[in-house]
Amino acid sequence: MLLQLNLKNAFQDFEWLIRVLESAKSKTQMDTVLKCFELWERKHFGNHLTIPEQSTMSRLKSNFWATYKNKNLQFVGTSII
Amino acid sequence: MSEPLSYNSEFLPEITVAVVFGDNPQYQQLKSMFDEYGYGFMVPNKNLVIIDGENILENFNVDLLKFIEAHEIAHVILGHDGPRSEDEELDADLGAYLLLKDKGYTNSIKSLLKNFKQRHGIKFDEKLLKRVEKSFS
Repeated sequence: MLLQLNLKNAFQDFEWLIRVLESAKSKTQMDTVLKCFELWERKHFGNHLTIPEQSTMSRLKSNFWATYKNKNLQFVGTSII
Repeated sequence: MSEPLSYNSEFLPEITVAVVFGDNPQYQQLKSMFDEYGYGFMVPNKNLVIIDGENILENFNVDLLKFIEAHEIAHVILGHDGPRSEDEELDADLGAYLLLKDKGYTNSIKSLLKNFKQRHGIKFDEKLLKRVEKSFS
């Protein structure tokens, strides 16, 4: 039950994070999203997590970075042009 | 944190939500509005809700942010466009409760309920929801 609660809160915050990431319209907004991601990590990662929870959280982190890199291409591309 | 975050509201997609942080140059101008209206406010005729981002920085409080967003969207759904009134604030909180419940945001509802009596001088009761239910069905 505790496992579900830890993850539920982390998931709900993560969904918001992805929402703002996908809505970012500039490199500077991406930087702000990155700072929010750091806050999310600080809040939800820690010794209180069990190994299965840590594994799930790591997958969320990977998911964030994949989305972030894809989105970032839009702005990197613009600056090269 | 200087660039505001902006995204379409999940409660009402035609409304843009902007989250402004303290180190943004415009924050000082907005601060007086936050002082007057609380954590956030809607901009009339602009389909825009502006939220004080400083509230989420402590412990990444997205639950509070969603409550603020839902409260402001409830004002829009209820057609509030006049001067601020106690009745409208109460109805916006009741509308926010319904919006948050619909999405399953129980932590945000806890934020709402925690401050309800202090904000409105009465204890939350589900019977109160009748005041606004028709607009959210």
